[in-house]
Amino acid sequence: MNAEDQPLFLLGPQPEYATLKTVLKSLNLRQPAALITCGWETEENEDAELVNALREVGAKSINLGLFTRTEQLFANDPELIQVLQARQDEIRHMREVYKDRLHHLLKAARQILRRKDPLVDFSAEQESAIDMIRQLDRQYDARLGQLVDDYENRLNTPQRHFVVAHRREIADILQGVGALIISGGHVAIILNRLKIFGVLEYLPQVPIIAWSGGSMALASQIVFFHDSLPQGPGNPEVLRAGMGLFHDLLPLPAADARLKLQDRIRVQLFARRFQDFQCAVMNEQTILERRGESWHSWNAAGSLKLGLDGRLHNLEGASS
Amino acid sequence: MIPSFISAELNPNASNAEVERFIQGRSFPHVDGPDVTFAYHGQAEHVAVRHWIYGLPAHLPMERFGETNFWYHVVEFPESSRIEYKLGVTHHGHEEWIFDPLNPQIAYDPFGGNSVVYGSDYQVPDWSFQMPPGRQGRVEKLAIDSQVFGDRRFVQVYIPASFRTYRRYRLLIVHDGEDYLKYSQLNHVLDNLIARSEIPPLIVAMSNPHDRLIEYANCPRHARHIVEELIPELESCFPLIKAASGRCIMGASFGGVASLATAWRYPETFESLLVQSGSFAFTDIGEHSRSPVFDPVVEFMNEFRRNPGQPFKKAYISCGVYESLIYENRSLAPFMRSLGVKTKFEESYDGHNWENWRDRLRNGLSWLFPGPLWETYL
Repeated sequence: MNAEDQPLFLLGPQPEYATLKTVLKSLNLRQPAALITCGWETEENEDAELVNALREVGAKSINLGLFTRTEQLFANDPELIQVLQARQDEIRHMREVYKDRLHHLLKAARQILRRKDPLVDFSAEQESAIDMIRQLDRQYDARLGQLVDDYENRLNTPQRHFVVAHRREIADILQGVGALIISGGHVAIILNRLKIFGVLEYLPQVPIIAWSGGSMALASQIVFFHDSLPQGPGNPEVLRAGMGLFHDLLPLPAADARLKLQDRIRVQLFARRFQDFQCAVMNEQTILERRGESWHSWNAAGSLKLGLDGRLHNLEGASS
Repeated sequence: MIPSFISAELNPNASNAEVERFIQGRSFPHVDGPDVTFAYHGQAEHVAVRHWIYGLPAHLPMERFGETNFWYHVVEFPESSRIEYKLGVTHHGHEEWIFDPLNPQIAYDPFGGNSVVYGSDYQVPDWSFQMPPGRQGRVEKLAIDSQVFGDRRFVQVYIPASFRTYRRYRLLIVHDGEDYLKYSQLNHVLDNLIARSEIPPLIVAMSNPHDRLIEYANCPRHARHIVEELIPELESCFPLIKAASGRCIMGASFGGVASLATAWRYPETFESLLVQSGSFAFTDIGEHSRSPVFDPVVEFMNEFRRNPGQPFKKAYISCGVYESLIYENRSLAPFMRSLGVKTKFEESYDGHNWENWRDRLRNGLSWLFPGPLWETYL
């Protein structure tokens, strides 16, 4: 089965695991769920609250321990960490240049979007300014993809001795699970671990439930955003392609807290820049279930998206 | 003008016992919007509020209320202020500076401490409180036999809770490290900001001087010690990014001068600088009017302003508006920007003290070292 056809549930943040429990209750799992909490990094194993929440709805679980496994890999395979760090350095340089360029383009676009004159129509200039940002995003994404591929060709991660052993173990575990649950956390770490261990390659046809950073890692496009950082608002930036389980949706976890949703220019610019996607506000109520080609929202409060007009709208095709 | 809460509820002929009853159940200094009423109860010839707020008379005499032994003085402050002070109580012609007996809040510093009052909008930052044990980094002591100074130096090194030998870390070098730990709770601040993903896990080396006013006033030996002895030693002990892009140097007051002078003497060694209330005295013409310990500082700052070079890429500068150094620090920010240094300058309604420096650490560190919060979605 293609991972793109896998039963899939995307959730917002889980302070009390409320929507996770709702989904699990409905699934009535007979087999344990595989957990991925590597996004919590060194706190990966501090999953007692999550495990208890699963128990409350009668679900057993087994943590795949992807962060811990990677630490073992790095200890046993020094070349792997060296090459990955070299890759990280190159990405950092490339990203710095991307961010510099992005800063100027976004500033220009915001200025043009804020410009008002009843006698002049600036819509062509606005579209052109936004399109330049899209072009930059595409260039960066392509350059980064090439760089990651080049390193991957050098590393051949799936065939590395210690990786093979871990992959075999994970494949064995996955054969007996009833669902895969991916927590939030550090998105790049979740994405890297999913790729290193080929988790989705070995996953049988069981539901995937992912929230926050976990849901971002499964998308075809990953975009970082935060308007309320202590050092000031950040410019939304493309990370790189995710696992590609879906192509039409850009999950924006906790967007109600992280984005200035009342700032129509910022919202409009975000939505128009990523117009190929529905920019979904993933709040604590959000449960989006993929059904065929469309998304089904389990409740109206959790099915909002950024609109091209700078306002919030209901997700298209999301019945509830 | 007598504050209404006093005139309405205290009789000008009140007995000591009645004054005591009036005081009980109230907190002093009494803060009401911008008005801060300092108070003292006791026999004295004279009572004054003693403080270090540049711009106000250093001696604010308190008035006695009627025939009582209750003394008060009202000052209007911006509401986000934090004010350190003592009370000067005069008996038999001799003034003694004491902590405010009616105020349990004390800010400690290397000279002992002061009473402190918070404006109605001020809050002690929650990111400066101690984290639970599992989230705390550890502080190790490192000894360095210094060829430069011909003695043994001790450095405290903060190692984050999530430390892993295979990772690479940025290095922050802190002047007056022990004081930053003791009076600004630097380790707690680091634990919190790292746990909140607002800064990445860092290795922080806290150096301590033997003769502060000499070593920190643009002393070439100090700069050599930091760059040629301390950094190589740290790089041999910890997995650090061995490049300017991974290094920041920081300090307050004279430690700010030491930070700037070290970065200036060794360009391309540090990517960034964090200075708080730097003692950056300079002259445009003529002599300076500060104490003689500033002579080498003024000489250095004048030279730096003539020949700045490009010692680093980013700078965070903070200063309290109640300090005499505010003028020099305000001047430094545009000067840095003119050199092409990305500069963030912040002022606070506070003075030249360790809690002011603590309170600015979040903005400074997260600006110089943006953390993985950007990439983390819980």
